[in-house]
Amino acid sequence: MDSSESQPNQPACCEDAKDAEQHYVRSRFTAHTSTADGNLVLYNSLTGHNCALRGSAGERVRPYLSKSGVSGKLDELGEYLLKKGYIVKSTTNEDAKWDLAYALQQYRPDVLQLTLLASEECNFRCIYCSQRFKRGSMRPEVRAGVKQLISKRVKKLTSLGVSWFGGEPLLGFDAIEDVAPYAKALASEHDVYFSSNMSTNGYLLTPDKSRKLVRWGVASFQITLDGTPSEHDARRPLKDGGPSFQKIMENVTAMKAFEEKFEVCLRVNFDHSNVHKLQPIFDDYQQRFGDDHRFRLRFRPVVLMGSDHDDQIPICQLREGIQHVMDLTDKVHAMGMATENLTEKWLSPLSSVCYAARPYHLVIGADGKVMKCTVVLDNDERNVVGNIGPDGEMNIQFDRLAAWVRPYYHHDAQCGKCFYLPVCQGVICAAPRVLSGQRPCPSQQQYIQRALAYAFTEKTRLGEHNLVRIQVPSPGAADTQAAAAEPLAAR
Amino acid sequence: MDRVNNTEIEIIELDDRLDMTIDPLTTMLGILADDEYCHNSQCCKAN
Repeated sequence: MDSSESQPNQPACCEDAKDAEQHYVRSRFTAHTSTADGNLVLYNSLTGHNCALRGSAGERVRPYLSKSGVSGKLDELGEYLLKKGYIVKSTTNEDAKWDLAYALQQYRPDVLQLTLLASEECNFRCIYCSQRFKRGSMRPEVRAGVKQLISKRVKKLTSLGVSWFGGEPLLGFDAIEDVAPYAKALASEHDVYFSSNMSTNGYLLTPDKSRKLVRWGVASFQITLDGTPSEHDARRPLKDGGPSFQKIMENVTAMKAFEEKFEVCLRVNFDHSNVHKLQPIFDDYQQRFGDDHRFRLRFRPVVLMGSDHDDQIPICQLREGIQHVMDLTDKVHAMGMATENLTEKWLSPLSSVCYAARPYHLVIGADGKVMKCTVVLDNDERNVVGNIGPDGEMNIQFDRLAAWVRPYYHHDAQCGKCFYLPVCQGVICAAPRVLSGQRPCPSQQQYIQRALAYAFTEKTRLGEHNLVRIQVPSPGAADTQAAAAEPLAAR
Repeated sequence: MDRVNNTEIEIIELDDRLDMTIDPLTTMLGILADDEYCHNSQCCKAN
């Protein structure tokens, strides 16, 4: 790495001479912005490092961020910026460095992540859902195949993940009961890291079932409640049109009595029709869950995915959507409730990569189809990459699989040059890449200035930060010569 | 460095989870284990 590339056996005089000649430039993965009250926020997407300097202290960083960079022996501030990845030696090939990091985290035979469609039928008919509900519960021979697959692979794994999805997965509870405890036990037996989660509408998540699931290692649930009872019931009705809110809320609230460790992400999908009507439900949540941070809120703008009602959904545009997410998060934080960690989601390397883009992630349908994307499912044959037999053997069409997991940024010059590449890797959603050749860009990348300003405000407000004090030469005494200092322009 | 001619500035570290002094690549691999959850707001695990 940059800060340790010097040769330890070189005489000190040679080192000094090298230092004097060294030139440093801003990392291509560094972004920065100035907040309204004059603070400078720095971020590097490869290291994930994020820091801020108040007022005039930020001015001291300006030369390091200039296009022409700085030359000579670094002062303490320069050493800090180098260590955290904000600047690099001008001779560093950052593209090569990133390519290596990408390969190491993308091609992982020791990782297996399965999304299992326990049931492809659903007991809801949400207005924005694009699924077609072609099949019921996962067939017994498919369950047997999944168990065999895990059994054959587990000895070579370090990490096993099982996501339960559908349709509504709890309609296939018999399949879950068959596979979930088996997977957990096998991972435990072989000392493999095991994680499991479920996206459920919550209607069938009775205390008896949720207790069993938690015991089987399903430690994270995503359950959607779209606002007040009337708003929710209009958007997420039962298959027969009946209401669903009350039953879901009863089930979720019952989980408060559990002593086990788990997390429930209470998801709120918003559009123009409900985004300004959420306060009553926040008040309700605060009373029910405010002191129990196992229950977290998550806000998402509704996106059009090909439902029969797409033309009637008043979706929020990208810019206002991300602003609403930040505003709603602020609002419930102020009420003392927990939310998902937005800054971690937006700013951590790897955090915005589509599961379908990972070679080690497979979706297994109720009939044994092996797929990649849970939106496309088998509505497009390009998503069906194979099938699984009862013996756990998978017949994979590698040409189809390869189309989902290739490094798309290598073939997209704009994407390959983007500062945000380590976070989304050009595939926040793999489907547009594979099906229509379009580039998907995350909203937080397009509004990185807002995201950085939000990270600063939120983390300083919550006290989630460390202070580092650094000595810099007083004005006029600098050792480092800035080759040129340009106006500090946010990207 | 002559401290008489120095000024102290304060850096507010907002995220320093990846200790780059060890090995950035190994550290990146370390966070993969928790990456099984879908974070994609543009997919169906979203709606």
